[in-house]
Amino acid sequence: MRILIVLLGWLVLCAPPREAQAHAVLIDTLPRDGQVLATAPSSLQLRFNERVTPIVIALRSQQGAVIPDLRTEAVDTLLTVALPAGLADGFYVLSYRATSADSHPVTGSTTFVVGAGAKPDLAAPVTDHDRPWRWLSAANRLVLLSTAMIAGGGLLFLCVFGAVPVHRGLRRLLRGSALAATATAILGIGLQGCLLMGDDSSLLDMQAWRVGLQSTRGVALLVAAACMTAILVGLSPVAKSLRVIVSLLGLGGFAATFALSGHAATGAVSWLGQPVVVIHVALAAAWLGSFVPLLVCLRRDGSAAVLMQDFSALALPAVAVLIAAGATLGLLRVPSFASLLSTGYGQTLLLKVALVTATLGLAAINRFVLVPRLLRNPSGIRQLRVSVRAELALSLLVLAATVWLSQSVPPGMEPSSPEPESEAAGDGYSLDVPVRGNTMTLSVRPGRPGIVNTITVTFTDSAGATIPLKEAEMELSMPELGIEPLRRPMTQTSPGTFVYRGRDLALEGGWTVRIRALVNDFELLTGGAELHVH
Amino acid sequence: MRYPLFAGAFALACTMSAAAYSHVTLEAQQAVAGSTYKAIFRVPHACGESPTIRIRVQIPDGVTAVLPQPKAGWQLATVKAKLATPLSDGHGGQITEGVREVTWSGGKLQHDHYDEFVLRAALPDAPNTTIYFPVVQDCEQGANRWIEIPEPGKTTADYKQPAPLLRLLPKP
Repeated sequence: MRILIVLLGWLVLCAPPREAQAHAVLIDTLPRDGQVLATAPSSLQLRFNERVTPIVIALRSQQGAVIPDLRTEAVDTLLTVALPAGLADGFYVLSYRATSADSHPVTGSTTFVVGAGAKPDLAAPVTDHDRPWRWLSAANRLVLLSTAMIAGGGLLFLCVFGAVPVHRGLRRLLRGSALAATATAILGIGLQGCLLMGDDSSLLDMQAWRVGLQSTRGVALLVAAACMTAILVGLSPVAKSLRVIVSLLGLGGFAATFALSGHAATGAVSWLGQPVVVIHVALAAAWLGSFVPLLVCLRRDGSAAVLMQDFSALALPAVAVLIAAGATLGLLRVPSFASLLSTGYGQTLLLKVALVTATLGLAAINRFVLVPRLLRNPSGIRQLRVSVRAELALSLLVLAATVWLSQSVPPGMEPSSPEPESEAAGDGYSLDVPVRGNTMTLSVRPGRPGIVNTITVTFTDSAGATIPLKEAEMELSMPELGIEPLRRPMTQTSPGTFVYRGRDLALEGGWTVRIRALVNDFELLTGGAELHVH
Repeated sequence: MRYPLFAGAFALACTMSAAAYSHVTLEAQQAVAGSTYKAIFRVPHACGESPTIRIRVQIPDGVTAVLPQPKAGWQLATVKAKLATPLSDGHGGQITEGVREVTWSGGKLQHDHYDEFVLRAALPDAPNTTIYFPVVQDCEQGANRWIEIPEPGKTTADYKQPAPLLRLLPKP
């Protein structure tokens, strides 16, 4: 018997627990990571492959608040965290720090969402949650584009053909347009915020405006509003020189906003796309904006025919440049003839080209048939009026097609998911991080907390070539808040490009991102960066 | 009858206590540069609860004359490739090809068991350097990649799945 006791003593002394052979590993959780629950769970379970001792267990809400009164119980390999009653709807992150028997720390985080019913956007597929805002935002763009072009182009027309006695009604109409454009641009900032935040947001919510202003589109809209205010000044009775300066600045500034955000800013070859889009928009405004003053002048007889002739002489080269710029942009966005027919973007572009061709046809009739006829016989003015009116209507349709284009995604710019639209309005930013002679490019779109963010990573070597990768995974953590790493696999969208889409960046602030990318079975590239979402 | 039972348990427990490591590592982590070295890869755990079914070792540059040790229950395979820099065979000729990868597969190592995988090789004559043998541990579900090589200023302790390392010592 004594021998037995001695042997037992030895056993205790020389045998650490069996688990000491390995790190502890989290096997699964209940609710599982990222699960959307109709009602708040009463407890959360973490199952490990071995017994662990919890050190810190912390639950945070989307607002970053620590949820107090967690009770943690460890039974064998299972950690059960009792959650307080009455958790509000929203996103939660539970971070754990525990030690396994070999005293190695095991850390990580798991997320869940409460309130599938109350907040459908959290549970719904990523694509649909902003649909109403998408329509409103598109309508806003169309109104802004047409009013701004009518006001800005109209003012430019008045500057160029200043000899024409300016009709008071015309000036009032242009001023109304400029005012409407200013208001539409400002409203657009809020709409952009709502679009980014999803459908439970509201224009009455200051947060929406803040989010809107922080996006590149919001900044572009703010600039547009300022330009339209300048146009408004130019339409008041001011000195001619001031009017000319203000019209050029206002129109040029408005056109420049198209280089700030949208496809020209984010697409390939932006160094070419950005200046070309500015020229394209400015000339389009000059052309479209002249229809209204022309119509007003055509209402009165007198010098209309001479004016039309002068206008045509200027318009012809301008329209030629406008078309050339448009064609350049089209070639930049649509790389092949096949994608012109097969993609939604290409088809919309074809529609726009058809509408432009019709407008040009009318313009040619005006220029070569109706204006010469008017010069011979003043009674031809009615036909010309009808024709210019039709030209105006057609060019407004061209604008509608343009807005539609800006809402669809050009070939080659599709995000990874099957729902491309959800990204179209997203902006964000990217970082280049040196990684052992290579460069890791990490981008986040739209970079706002609490909504779906798309994180993309690529590695390029010193020669600038993309490094093909086998697989990649990402760890997201917030060390200051004690949020331990959330481990997320990334999916490959094209050779060397890996993407993760999810709501994990739910809390505002700086997230530490670590990427582990496998080049081949034995070679790993790792890189870290800080992503800020607010 | 009771005694042998406890003695058995005792013996088993002692064996296991020797295996109280968390990573795949080499048993001897330093060796004389240029010598012939017996590399013993220790595999203390699997991927969570899923058993290990394959071990792949990448041979670092400069390590030559690789002779893996066959292992009962496992199929042995090697991958040969051209060497980055041809080596002298010591007899006036050149060695241009060598084993770059060794694979033991087809076995089954449970997560709560321990095993070792062995090969013999000639080490490069580069004293005071550290070489790394990246190891991929494939399990029935998932894999562990012991392939992280520390950046300058860091050590393997800073990594979750470091590659087994070997320090090359100057000749005594």
